[in-house]
Amino acid sequence: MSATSWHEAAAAYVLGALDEKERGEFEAQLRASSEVQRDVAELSEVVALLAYAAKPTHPPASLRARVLAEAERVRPFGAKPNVRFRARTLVPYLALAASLAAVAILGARYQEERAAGRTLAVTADSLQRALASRDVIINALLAPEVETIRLSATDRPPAARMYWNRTTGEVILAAFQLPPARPGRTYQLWGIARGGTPVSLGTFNTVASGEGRHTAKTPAGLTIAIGAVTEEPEGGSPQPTSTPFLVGQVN
Amino acid sequence: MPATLPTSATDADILARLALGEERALGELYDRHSGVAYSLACAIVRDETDAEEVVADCFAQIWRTAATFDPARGSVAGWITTIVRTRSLDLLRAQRRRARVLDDAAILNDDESATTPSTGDTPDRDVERSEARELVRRSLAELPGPQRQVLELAYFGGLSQSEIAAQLSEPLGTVKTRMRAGLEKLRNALRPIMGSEVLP
Repeated sequence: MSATSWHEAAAAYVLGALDEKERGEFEAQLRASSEVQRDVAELSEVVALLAYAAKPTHPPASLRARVLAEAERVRPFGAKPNVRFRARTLVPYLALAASLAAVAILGARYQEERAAGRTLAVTADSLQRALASRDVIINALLAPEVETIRLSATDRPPAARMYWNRTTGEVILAAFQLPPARPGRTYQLWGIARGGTPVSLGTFNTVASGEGRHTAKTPAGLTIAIGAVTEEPEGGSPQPTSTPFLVGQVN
Repeated sequence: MPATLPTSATDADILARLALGEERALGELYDRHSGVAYSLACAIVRDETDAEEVVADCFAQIWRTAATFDPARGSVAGWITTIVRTRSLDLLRAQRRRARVLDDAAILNDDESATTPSTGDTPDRDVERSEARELVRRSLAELPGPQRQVLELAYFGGLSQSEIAAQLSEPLGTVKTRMRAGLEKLRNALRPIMGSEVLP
């Protein structure tokens, strides 16, 4: 494909205006060239902004109520339709359920989008990676050899729940009601073997709402007896420099 | 008027709560983005009832798949408008009523009374959106007519290059050149607002 040709194809590609055969040819070019990838990324931003060219039209007030009612109806999380988000204790279960449901929907949606052939390659890549990531989480959580560790300092928030797959070493941490770390600081998760020293399982942070999720893999040979979270300087520390404020034991 | 009070939470914060199943977060996201979503759906499907259908479907999809959003791939606003455009074009195709000639009134020639809906977001982010919208519309209006036409037929009409060429009775090569040239000019004009976290 000549330079002029791929430049023109890139413009049509981001607008979804290539025919199927042309799209296949262009995507091969896209995979092979970082220059083409950069061009497509920039042009995609331009195309996204075209949404603002539509005449501003106010949605009817009834649509908001409909959207919220629909969300409750289609909620495929195994929750009863009228169960509301009341107790903080529901959060971990909802989070897990959301992940499981997202995988099923994501898979179906991904296939649908692919079949329709209108999803940009970048979006497809993103979905694929997200799907792979969800698979890892689900496989790690559903195995019989998964240990659950409840991390807390007191009976009050913040709290976290840690899932550890003894066989694969996958670790998933879900933190709740934990404010984001201060500027220049981060949270660090530790796994500690009986009688051993803390082993870093990576750093993480939470969002403004206090929720955070983190995945890690234990080094070979580490049998976690205790999980702990400390606050550390940005980038993390080789060993904890502060007292853990969340601690829990494997049952 | 949004149903929720203005909040300084970012779109990503709201989406994270959404991914955990918090319905109130869906209301906040709706207040922030339903204006652009509905306007875009109306411009594509040309029917308010159909546009409502599209927006309702889109927010249901967003609700179910919030956990799949990848911030490394772009803004939440961009994700939402992509979903809305895809769904709107799906509906057009399903109804076999593709735009033969786009009615400019639905896109550029809005009257002065058309205002951007309030979003429940912070005033500075609302101002940023409003200014961005003005720049996009001005930049598109300043394109040579034939370039603007092919971009609108592709973006709002969902037509392929060859369909556009057939509809306009122009050589395919001409359509390709106009499409690239039009997007290039827009890229230069819109560069100041590209990469924003609050814009599509």
